[in-house]
Amino acid sequence: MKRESGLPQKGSEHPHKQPTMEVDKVKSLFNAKIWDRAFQEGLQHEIKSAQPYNWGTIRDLVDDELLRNVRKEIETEIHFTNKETDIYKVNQSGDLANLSGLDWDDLSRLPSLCRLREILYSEVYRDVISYVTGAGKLSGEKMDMSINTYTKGCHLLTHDDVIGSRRVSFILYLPDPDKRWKDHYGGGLRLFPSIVANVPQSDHSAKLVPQFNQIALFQVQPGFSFHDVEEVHVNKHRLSIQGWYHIPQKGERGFVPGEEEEWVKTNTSTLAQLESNVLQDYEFPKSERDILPLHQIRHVDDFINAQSSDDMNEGKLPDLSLLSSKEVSYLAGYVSPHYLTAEGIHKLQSQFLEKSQLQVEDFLNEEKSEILKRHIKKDELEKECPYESSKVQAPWKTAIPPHKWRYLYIDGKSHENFHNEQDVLDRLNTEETPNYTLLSQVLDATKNDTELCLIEVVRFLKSSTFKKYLALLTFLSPLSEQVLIRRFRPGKDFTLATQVHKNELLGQVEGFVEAVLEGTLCLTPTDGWDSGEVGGYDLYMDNQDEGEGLDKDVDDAAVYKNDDSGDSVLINKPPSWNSLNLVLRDESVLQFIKYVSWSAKSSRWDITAQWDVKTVGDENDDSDSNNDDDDDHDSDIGNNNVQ
Amino acid sequence: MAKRTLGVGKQSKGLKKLKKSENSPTPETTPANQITVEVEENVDPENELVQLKGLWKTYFDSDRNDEMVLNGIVHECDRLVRSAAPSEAVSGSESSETQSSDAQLVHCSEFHAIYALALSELTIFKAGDEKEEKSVAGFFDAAAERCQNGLNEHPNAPLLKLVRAKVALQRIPLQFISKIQVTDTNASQLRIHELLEGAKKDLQTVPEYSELTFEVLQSFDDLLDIVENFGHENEIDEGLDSDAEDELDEIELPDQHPLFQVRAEVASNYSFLRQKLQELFSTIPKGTKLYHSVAKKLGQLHLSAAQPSSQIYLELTYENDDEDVTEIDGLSATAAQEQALGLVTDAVHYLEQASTDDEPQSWVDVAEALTDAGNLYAAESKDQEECYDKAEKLLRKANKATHGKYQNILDNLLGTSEDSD
Repeated sequence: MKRESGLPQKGSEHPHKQPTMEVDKVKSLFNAKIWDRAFQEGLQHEIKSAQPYNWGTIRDLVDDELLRNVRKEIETEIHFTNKETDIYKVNQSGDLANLSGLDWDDLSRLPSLCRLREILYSEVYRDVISYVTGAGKLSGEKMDMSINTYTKGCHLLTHDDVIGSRRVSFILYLPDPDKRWKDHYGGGLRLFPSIVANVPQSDHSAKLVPQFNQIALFQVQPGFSFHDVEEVHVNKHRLSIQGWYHIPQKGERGFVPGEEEEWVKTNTSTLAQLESNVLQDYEFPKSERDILPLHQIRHVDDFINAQSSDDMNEGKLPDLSLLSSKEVSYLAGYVSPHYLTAEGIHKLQSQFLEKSQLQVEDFLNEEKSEILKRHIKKDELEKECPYESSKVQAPWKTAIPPHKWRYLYIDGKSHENFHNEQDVLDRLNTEETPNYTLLSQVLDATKNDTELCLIEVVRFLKSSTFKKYLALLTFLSPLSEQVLIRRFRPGKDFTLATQVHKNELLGQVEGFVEAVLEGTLCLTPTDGWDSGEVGGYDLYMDNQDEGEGLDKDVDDAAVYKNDDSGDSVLINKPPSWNSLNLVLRDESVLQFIKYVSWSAKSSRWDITAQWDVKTVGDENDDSDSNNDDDDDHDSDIGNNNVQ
Repeated sequence: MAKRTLGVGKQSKGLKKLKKSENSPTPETTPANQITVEVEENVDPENELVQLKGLWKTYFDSDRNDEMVLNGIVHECDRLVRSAAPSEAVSGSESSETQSSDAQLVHCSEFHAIYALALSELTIFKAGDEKEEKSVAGFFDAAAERCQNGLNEHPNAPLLKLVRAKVALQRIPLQFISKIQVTDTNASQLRIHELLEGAKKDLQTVPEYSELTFEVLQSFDDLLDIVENFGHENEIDEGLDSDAEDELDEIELPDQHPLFQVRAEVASNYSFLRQKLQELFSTIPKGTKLYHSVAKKLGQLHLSAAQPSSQIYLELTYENDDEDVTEIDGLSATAAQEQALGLVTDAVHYLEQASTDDEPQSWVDVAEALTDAGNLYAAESKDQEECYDKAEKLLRKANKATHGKYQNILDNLLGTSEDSD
């Protein structure tokens, strides 16, 4: 699925008629400097030589009084609604949905705004923008503007703005005209360099602190123009008008037949490529589960086969005597005692069978839980946490690319910290499988005590004994696994909605389930998460786009319709301490960890695991899951490609 | 296997749509038939007063977004009153024994208190809705009447007085101030000052109900804040540029304005509030959550109380170009310094009590108060340096714990802020 570039697009792109201003009048409403050739040349040079890609800014762009009036109109006439999805949280104008679609009576409520729009799309000004950005001719008919206000907690994560025929993006800022917008308020426009096309670096390399009557602009460059809006940290309104200049339309100066179609086609194919190759090579950690040793699978199978799920369905308790005393005591060393009794397990089995998901509170026993909590809290309060990927040290790594996710993780492999394409290629050339045991042996216990505690839990989760326990709870036998320790830092980390893909190699295994079993043990030691305000929640949702045709208008297809307030939400689990969330996730289900707000009290910590699974026992009477990919489940529209 | 686990997506299709998980950030209101009421240990869970107290506690300790729990309390109180009423013919199924126990129950002060609290609290769900204007007044009247009935039976019941104060302090903003304009001159009609003075008389610390006492004192604080900022509601609502840095100018009110007198006495009311909070503070066991909360509130109130004299001191000491000006508002620099320093020192003390090991914000609160104290000592004096040093240490520690959240405050303290205007 093609994701929207950021906010839902509300601006109109339809040609329309309106009275036009005299050129001199238009010019008089801009700062006179922009008509000066030397200024234009200077700006052009600045944009051309800017890093990380071609962009620029103009201070005091338009007539001060005009913009103050625009701000007043917006304050008094426009109602904003708070919208939140995996990629943004923003207050969006409802009334302006179709600025040009309103009749003139309605527009009388917003005369200054209309005037502003008119001059921003005037030919004389467009020519300046075209010249300074080097983007080619720009459409005056296809106006495309929306108004957003970012208040405390609002943000927009990394994207490249590529949608349809957009050629140049601009953002005109309107915070309080009488006060300077300060850096520590947040809300900056941040630009990301790319490792290769479509793969931005984890950290931005340029940032604009927006001021009233300042415009930022850049040429839309597929695969390169990655940017985000930093979260606003204070209770102030960072009001802005976002707009785009499009490829000239038929009948306009600069129109080239077929140009727009070619551009859109190229972008689509870029996306297809992104899905199939580039992103998959350049994403870390890879969503790959390593196939388990056969003997481990066989032991679990034998164990489960010896249990009769028919008995369970008839209300009989599981037979724990099939576990050796060593196995029982190993489990008791980690798991809370009430989840190790026949009654406790039976209860969990029933819940999982009924809902395909299970939330096990206080999963680890008190002793383990206390030790972990003490360590994680100590780390949070006393250790400096790296916020730049280059400063992240072993055993932690940074998940990339940031238009898919960003968080710290430990994967049980050698350390890596990618700075350029070659680093990634070298890693691809020398792949490893995880070895947490080895990793724990090389860590310095005085420096990495918390990591060692977490790794111990990972080793438990990877043990054969735990897999037997897991199989007992779910009646599913693991075939492959991936276990990661993750830390989502406030003001920094998230994952965007993604689907899981089954392991193709395992498709032919008898009893293979067309879904992935996912277990997340949340180990977040602070409170204040339950309202959802500070993010960090783990959200599973139905993919509502499922089954929809691909012949839709490009813009429509780009709009990511699911938000976390709709019926599509299957599970919404805020960060918590010591709770295990087990989900059997079909490929159609999207999942994300919401961006953790700067004002969260701590990072979100968790250990997350995925297993390809198969059923065991007498399966022949079942028709629901064994290689029975229903026709409504085969559309490949939920991956995470952000353009 | 008789039954197979489906994927969570398929399962949800089978079950129509699965509702949000129990841990959803936006919990739905509790169905009336699913409420679990916790009662204290060693009490009879069948006792109706115990149940009623449990129900109120359930609401009091919750997020308070469940109107149905309140309705449940009110209905239960109504039922008990009816059941106890000797004049009303009660259905034959109820024994006279039950009637007599209900009669006892509805005469105890706690019953009146819970009944009044629930009625008063219900207004929160009605306020702001024009259609419910009358019911807001009606609920407050009924709540006040319940208190009065109780006080007629138990004239000195501290709990009932406290609840009466709560009803009044809730009523003033919700029923009256919400409709007052800046230009109104109907003071004699609304008699807000009188209502407030009445509430102050009722307002006393009830150690057995320390949480409730704190809540009533917080309502009083909120009310004073509303009165101080009256006229700025729209700006605050819009949220445009409201920030701790921006001081709002007080809007002038006509002398017959219903809030004129209350505003004129705002400083003495804050002093009254601090005194009551101190009384409460002395009764709370150390280390409890309430202890920290009350300490924090006291710290904040002492800091704000110090502000006027602190400003006078700083102005006379550092910004005074006119040698003839030696006093502002009757305070010399020394007197202002002494007054402000006393209050700020107390603030530091309370905020230290409020500070906890795992709340960096509570360390920052202390650091900010220490910075204020440092500003009040003579420039470059030992005392000043000590305060700044302590503040810096705390800020550095908090900054480390919070990924640089307090960098701006630290920069301001060290004078390295690019943002300082």
